[in-house]
Order: sequence, then structure tokens, then C-alpha cells
Amino acid sequence: MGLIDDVLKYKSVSVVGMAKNTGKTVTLNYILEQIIKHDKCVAVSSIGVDGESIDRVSATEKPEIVIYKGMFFTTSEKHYHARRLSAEIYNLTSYHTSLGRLVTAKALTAGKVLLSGPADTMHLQQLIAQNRHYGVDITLVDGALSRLSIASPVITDAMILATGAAISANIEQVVRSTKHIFNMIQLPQAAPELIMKLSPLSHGIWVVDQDNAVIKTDISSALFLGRGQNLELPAKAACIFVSGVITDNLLNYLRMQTYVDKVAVIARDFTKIFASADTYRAYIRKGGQIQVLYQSKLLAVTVNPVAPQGYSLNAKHLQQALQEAISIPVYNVKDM
Amino acid sequence: MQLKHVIQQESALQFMIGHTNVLSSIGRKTLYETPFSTDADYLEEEYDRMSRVMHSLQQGNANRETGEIKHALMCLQDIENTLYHLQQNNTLDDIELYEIKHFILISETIRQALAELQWVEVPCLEEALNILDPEHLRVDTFYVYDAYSDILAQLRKQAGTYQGEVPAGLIDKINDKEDEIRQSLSKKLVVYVSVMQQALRNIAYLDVLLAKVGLCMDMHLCRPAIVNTHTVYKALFNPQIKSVLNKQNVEYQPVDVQFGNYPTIITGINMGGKTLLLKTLALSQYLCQFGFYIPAGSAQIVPVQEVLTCIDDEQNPLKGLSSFAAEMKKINEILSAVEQKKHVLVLIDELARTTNPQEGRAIVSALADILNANKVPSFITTHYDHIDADCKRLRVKGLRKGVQWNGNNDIASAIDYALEEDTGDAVPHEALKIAEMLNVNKLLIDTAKQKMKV
Repeated sequence: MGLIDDVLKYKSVSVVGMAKNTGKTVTLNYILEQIIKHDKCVAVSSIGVDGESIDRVSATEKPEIVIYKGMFFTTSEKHYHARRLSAEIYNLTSYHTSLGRLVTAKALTAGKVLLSGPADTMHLQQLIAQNRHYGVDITLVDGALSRLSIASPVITDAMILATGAAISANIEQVVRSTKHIFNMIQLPQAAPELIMKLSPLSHGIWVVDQDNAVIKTDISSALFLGRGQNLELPAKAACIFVSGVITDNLLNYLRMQTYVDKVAVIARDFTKIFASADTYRAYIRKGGQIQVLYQSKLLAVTVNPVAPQGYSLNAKHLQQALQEAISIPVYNVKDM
Repeated sequence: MQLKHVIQQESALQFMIGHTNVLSSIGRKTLYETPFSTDADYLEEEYDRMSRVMHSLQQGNANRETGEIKHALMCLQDIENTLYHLQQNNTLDDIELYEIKHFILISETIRQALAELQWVEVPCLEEALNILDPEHLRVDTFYVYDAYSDILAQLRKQAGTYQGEVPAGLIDKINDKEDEIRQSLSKKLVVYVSVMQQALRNIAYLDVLLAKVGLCMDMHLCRPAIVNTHTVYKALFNPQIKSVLNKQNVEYQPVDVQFGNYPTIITGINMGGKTLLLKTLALSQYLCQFGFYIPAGSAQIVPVQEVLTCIDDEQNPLKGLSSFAAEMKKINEILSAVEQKKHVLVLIDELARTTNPQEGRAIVSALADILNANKVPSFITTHYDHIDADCKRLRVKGLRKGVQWNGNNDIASAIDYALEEDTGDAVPHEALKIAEMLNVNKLLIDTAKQKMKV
């Protein structure tokens, strides 16, 4: 019951899968099933449709979520029509997603729905605020960790990370990949005054000096660094803010610079860091440091020992190995 | 012709429309579909409504109602397609039924807020609302209510007794019953389609009306009188330039100007505001005939069928032609409208300036003669002197007497932009003085001065 008690402490929680078939839906369904025993008003939505692009081809492939009476849910018009429950409509957005406008409704009977939701962070934030207005205590978000998604699960107060055999057939590899994401989620947050200054910057690479002055560099994307473009830093540079994604190329480039241990890199949030575990480790070993503007509290990791290809890992070993590597609770979705 | 057809080419009009804060998407659509009207009665009616609204707002006795209406307008969604779908005798789904209910609630809120105010008539939709709100809760949510059918209520109760998944057979029964009810709701609602469309149109119009009144109050616009002899502006100004100057703490000098069915030739120094005057005349004519107030202290305006301009900095669609050729094509279009005896307002900036002065002068004189013979209200600005034509002449007063130029003071404040009747036909020779004030290369100016003496 530890997981539910943790979830109940927050106003918004996202369940984020490291890949498809890592048991995200099982986790979400488990939370919904357990949470009705508590006297809380719950809402569910999802981040866009980008996370599981196969949905656009055949909507049926996306696992359905079981909603209970009295719960609010938000989904697209298209998925709302496919619902298998009675519901009272509370709101219809004026903006459109690729599956139509978003409908927020309150379930009158229990039943299954397909979830889709806002495709960007601003609308997700609006949705959580709107739910509070309806008396919702907790908004649960079916999150996605994807390069395609521009909505970040980090805006929810807390997160649950779903991992499992879908990542690799090798327990060690699953642990290593999960531990890397875990490390990224735990990256330290930048100073508050920097968060204020940097969060509106949506393009390019910026340098912050020791007096917190923000200076634009003429490098438009981390992709070009070292390939004809060089990052010259002023003498007083304290950190580098990368508004877009942090790639292997960027970290490899910085690692070779004399200022690597003097200048920290700031990313928007952990979902923007695409660098591999090895590159990250090499960068850190040279004294490099990464901070983030936005952070979310990681409550637990859930593991699915069964892979979509059919093989199954030793659930007990996997859970134990992960628990040894990670300092937060690890749950096996098959035991939930 | 509608506003959306003109706005692309008229940057000054774009500026005004950009500051017209309509709150709903359908309001914006209605604004862009505003007709260019020559009908004095229609325009006066529109001004009457605006002045009623403005009066209430200025008195401050409709603040609460205005707040309620504006909030409702922000929640307004365009349900034209849903109403059309209903009109075609389709059965609406829950989302569409919710859209209609949401709209009726907004419409009723606005109707009630308007009760004491004679701004716009919004029809009562209470009967239609009762269809979608059988429990008279008046809340902004919708589902196929239990109250519609005892059988449905029973089936739902039965479904509620299951702990886990409800059997498919029962779900099917509930769905069938819900569909049946949606069908009957849609049938009942069809008779209200036209009154709902009316309400939607009138509310969209109210949005536009409030936005236009807001614009008048923000920019201090005045109500024009629609007349049929002479157009007269007192203290005419260009809101866009005025706002730029005000930000720089420079005062804008409004001008007085009037015209009838004849051409007027305007001369005056460079930077004397001649081009700006033409643009402002075009803007004011458009604003008036699209039912807006006018950027002037007072105005009386004769409506025209079309405003035809030839002002160089507009986007030239005839790319590839020389500037002279492009200009002559434009003049040709103007003349063909004149030959068709259309009642047009013609505004031409520095006609034939890209050719030699002798022929340029002849072209200006000839065009002025033709416009005069056809009694076309028109303005031509020029730097040519000795224009041989029978027309009215105005001159920008120009550099103020006694202004000591020290190289730092603002050129705008050194110029008197007022227009005066020009009787002599010698144009002012102040180009070099202005160039000097603009800190143009001294060698050039000195050499030019030498050449002038020869």
C-alpha cells in the first residue's frame, strides 16, 4: 500500500514509461483501483498521443484505462466517442489536438476509456488547474518519455517511473538504463533567480556569467557544436543554458574543453537530456555538471518483468537488482 | 466588399483592427465580414448603437453587466457547424448536445445582463435550455440524464450494483436507451435552430460592438456625420503614428482638411506629412464606411463606392515592372473607374516623380484636369511647381519661423504640419535645409548650394 500513500500526498502525479510495454498502464490501473478506497476526487489524463504513436494507426492497440464512478477524465473527442461508460461532460476545449478537441467528463458508471490529452506543457498545466476548479484532489497523468513529445511530465508534482524487460533481455542492462534515467531525474535544480531568467528562453544556447547576466551565443543548436561551430565563453562564464536537447555530441564537445569543470550545463528538465549513460559518465568524470530548471519528485519505480517479445526476466532478481541500485521503492507490476 | 478584403493592403487599418479587442472567435469572424457600406441610414444606425453603449459605459452604470458579458463572451464557442448538423435532422452526440447547452447558458447570461440595456436584442432560449436541463440545475455540464427515462435510470442503477466490470449485455441496453433519448432530444431541438442561430449572430455582433466602442474610448475617436456634399475633418490624426510619437514624448500635430468633388494638389517640404495625410484620409474613409468612429476632433464624411490609392510604399503586386510602369498601371486602373462614373476617392502620392520634371509636370496637370472634369474627390501630392490645372491647392506650412537648428532638436517639432491655401504656384525650396537637419554629408549639401546659385 506504500505506493498509494505516497501518491495521495500530491496534487498531480504522472506515470512515465521508459519504453512501450513497461507496464505503465498496469501501474495506472492499479493506482486507480486502489485510490477509490480513499475519499479523494481523482482525475486522469494523458500527454498527447506522441508517446505511443501506433495509436494513430489503430486506436485499439492502446491499452484502455478503467475509470470508476465519480472520477474525472480528459480525453480527445475521438476517444470520448469510443468510451464504454456513461459520463457527464464538464468542459470542451476551444483548441484542437490531432484527435480533436479535449473533453473533460465525470464518470457516472465504471468503465473503460482510451486516454489522450494535451500535446504541450502549457495546456497540461491549464488542465490540472481546471481540474482543481472542479474539486479534483489528484490529477494522474499517463506520461510519455519521448523525443516527440513537447509536453513534459515534469510539470506534475510527482512522478512514477515504469521500466522492465521491454528495455533489454539482460537484467544488468535494464538496471543500468533505469539507473541512468533515475540519475537524470535526480539532477540538481538551478538557482531560483536563474530559473526565472532562463525559463522564457525557447531557442538557442545561452551563457550565464558570474553576475547572473544572460548572454546569447550565436550557436543555434547543440547539433552544430564542434562541426564547424565553436562555443567561445567569456572569462566570467558560470554556466551554459541549453534551451533544446542535450545530446551526446554536446557533452562530448564540452568534455574536451578546458572549462569543462568550471562551467555547469543547465537543461530545461531531464526529458531534454538525450545523452547516453556512457557519455554522461565520461562528462561527469572530467568534472562536468548538469543542472535542470524544473524538477519533479520521483516516488517509485515499477517493473514489468515480461517483455512484448514473449520472454520473461526473473522478476525477483530484477526487482532486487533495481532496488540495490536505486534509493526509492521498486514495485513489480505483476504482484500489484 | 468586406473588411477582410481590404485589410491586407491597408497597414493603418490593420493597426486599428489589431487594437479592436473582440473576445470570441466567432466575434472575430463577424468583424472581418463587416461590409463596406455606402448606406447612410445603416451607418447612422450603427453609430447610434455605438453611442448608446459608449454612453452607458461612460456613465459607469453598466460595469457589472459589462463584466458579466465580457466573461461570457470569452467562454463563447462557435457552434455554427453543430447547429447546421442539427438543422439537417441529424442525431447529435453528447459532445454536440453539451456544446448547445453551453452556448444557451452563455446566451441566457448575456440576455439577462442586457435586460436593462438596449444594446442588442438576444432572443430567449429558455425553452431549448429546458430540453437539455431536465432537472433545472442550470449547470454547465451535460449527460443523458436519468430524468429523461425511468427505464434508463433503472438500468443504470442495475449497472451500479456490479463491483467489477458491468456485463456487456447491460451496457448495450443502456447505450441503446441513451441513443433513443439523444434522437428524441435532437428532434425537439430542431425547431429552435433558427432562433439559436439568431442568438449566435447577435452575440457575435455584440462582441464586435463592444470591441469597437473600446477602441473609440482608447484612441479618442469621434462619431462622424454622414453627409453628401463636403467631407470635413477637424484635428485629423493618424493613431499609429500618434502612438509612436507619444512613446517618444513628441506631440502629434493634428491637421484640418476638407474636400468636395474636385481634385486638390498638395505641395510642401519633404517630411511635411503629405504621404501620412493621404494614408490617414484613406484610413478614415474606410473606418467610416466599415462603421467605426474616426480619428479626428470632428468629422463629416461623404461615403464613396471605392477608395483608390497610389501610394508607393504599399506592397507592389506588379513586381518586375519599373516604378514608373507600376505607377502608370495603377493610374490607369483609377482612370478606368473614373470613366465608369464610379463615385470614388482618389489618393495619389507624388505622381510621376520618377520621370523628368517637364513630362512629370504635364502628367500631373493632365490628371488633375481629368479628375476635375469628372468631379472626382481626389488628392495629388507633388514637388513639381507650375502645375497648369484648375484645381484647389494646399501647402504644408513647413519649417516654423524662428526655430534655431542646433543639430540636436527634433525635426518633427521644427515643422508646422498645418495646411494652408496655396495661391502662388512656386513650390517651397527647403529640401537642402531638411537634408542639413538630417545631417546629410556636408560636401554634398555645400556643393548643391553652390549649384543652386548658378
